[in-house]
Amino acid sequence: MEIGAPRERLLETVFDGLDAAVYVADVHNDAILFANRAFQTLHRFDPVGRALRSAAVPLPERGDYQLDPRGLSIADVPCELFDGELLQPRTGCWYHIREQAMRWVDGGIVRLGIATDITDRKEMAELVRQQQERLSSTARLIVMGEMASMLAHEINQPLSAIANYCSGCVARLEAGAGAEAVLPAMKKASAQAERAGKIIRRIREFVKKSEPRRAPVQVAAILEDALGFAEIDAHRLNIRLVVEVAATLPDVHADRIMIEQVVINLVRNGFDAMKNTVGDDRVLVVRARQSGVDAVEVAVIDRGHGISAEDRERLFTPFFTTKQEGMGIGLNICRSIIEFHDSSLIVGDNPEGGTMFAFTLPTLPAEGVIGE
Amino acid sequence: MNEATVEQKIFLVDDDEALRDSLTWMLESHGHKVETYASAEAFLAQWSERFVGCLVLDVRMPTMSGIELFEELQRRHSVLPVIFISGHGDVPMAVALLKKGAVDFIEKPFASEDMLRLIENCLGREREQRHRRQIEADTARRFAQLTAREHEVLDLILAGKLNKQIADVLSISIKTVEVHRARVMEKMGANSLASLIQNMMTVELRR
Repeated sequence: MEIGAPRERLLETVFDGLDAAVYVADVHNDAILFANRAFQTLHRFDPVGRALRSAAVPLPERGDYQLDPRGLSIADVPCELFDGELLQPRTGCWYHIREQAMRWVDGGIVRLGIATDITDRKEMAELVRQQQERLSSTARLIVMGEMASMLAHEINQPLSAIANYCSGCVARLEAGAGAEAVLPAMKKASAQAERAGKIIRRIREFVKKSEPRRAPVQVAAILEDALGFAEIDAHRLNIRLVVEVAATLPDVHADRIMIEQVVINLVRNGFDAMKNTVGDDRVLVVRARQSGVDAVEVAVIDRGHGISAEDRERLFTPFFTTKQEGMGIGLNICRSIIEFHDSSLIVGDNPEGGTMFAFTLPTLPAEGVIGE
Repeated sequence: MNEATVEQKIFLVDDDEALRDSLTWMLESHGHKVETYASAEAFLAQWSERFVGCLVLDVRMPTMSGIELFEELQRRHSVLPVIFISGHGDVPMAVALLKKGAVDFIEKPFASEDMLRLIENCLGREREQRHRRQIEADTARRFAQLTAREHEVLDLILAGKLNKQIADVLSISIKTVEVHRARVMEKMGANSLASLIQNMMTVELRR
């Protein structure tokens, strides 16, 4: 070890040994005054002297700062300017950024920043979230399956009883029995029919409870939430995700969570469909625009392998899937959700190759839904 | 002999009152005798070897299940044939039951005619089996009454030997063979060689 090395060299070695990118920039002219090796590696050239604004790590916008760094006086420093997670849109990498204002060697005020790449952690968290989502939807299916099987069992009892009473009555009447002989059994049969009716009513009530809760919402807000995480996938898959939302769209009357699920589902399907699409064609467009006077249309358009006429017929058949790990229920649920919203899920060809899924959402409250 | 004329009954075990009542009505309308039990335990408390007919059993019951009852009856060497009523989706269980010796199963909801046909087939088979068991027991009992010499003569008769050949083998006179032969036929309750062979076959199968 070089105990006697100059202090500057020791510090430089420490800074260069860090995984995090460390930089110092002038608060007024934004010029980079210092950059450690990790920061330089990101740029593949020595950035000192250049403007920090063009750096490869994402930076907070002016409004994101707790204090305006340009307005600080020597008395104010050192102080924290920013602490948060930012996405670098060009590379799709996530960074944890910490910036502090401090006094520089020349007496001026500078920003000292530390940018740590947290993309792996973010992706892991997203994976966990996706798994949980899949788990909870599976759990919901199991609950529904159990419910259905229980109700089937319950409704079997009165149906069997009715059949038995009637069959016995037929046998006795054929053998010449009088009306009085079969009357008690007929009465019991009709009581059983009422019992079956009650079970059906209970199913109806159960279904009603899981109907959507609709409220006015901006389509842009739905898309923003739904596409937040899709952007990470898009980057990983090297797909360009283009969101085209027309300006000044009216509120739609929809169950926000449910529509988000539909969009997520359709976008993921679109990604999957483009597995073998190459180069600039790897584009998925999510478009929202006015449709007629009282609806907003949302379309998810991919340039994937398209859907054959044969598959299209079976597209909404439960448990039909062309995917290895698919269950074949996603599109079904999507369609049901859209139908709950008094609309329909339309599938068409993308003229540029690939497939387009589209649905409309009403901008006015649907008749009778709110009052019920 | 009187066992063949014992009246067959349908023993119905189901926790659903409406199903018990309606099935009883249907079966009685077709001239059957029915006894119902609301639980497996209630049936087990009454069960005896003299129960004759068939047992119609719901697979799913709250405390003791139909399957548990069936297994307990097998432990008690019950020969009462069992028809299971299974709910939807119990097919793998039903297959396992069939392998364990249950006669049949029917899935709910069932058509009354299907249930009736199943029960009547089952009763028919039960009657045949009971008859055969009776002959077996009868023949075995008679067979046990034969003397050692009569056993030898019977074996040779069954081997297709003539009286003269039997006399040679056993070194006795033909007259003596004829006497033994008459005693064997009488003790075995056979009036012809054919019926003797037929009865003996049921015993042979058991030996």
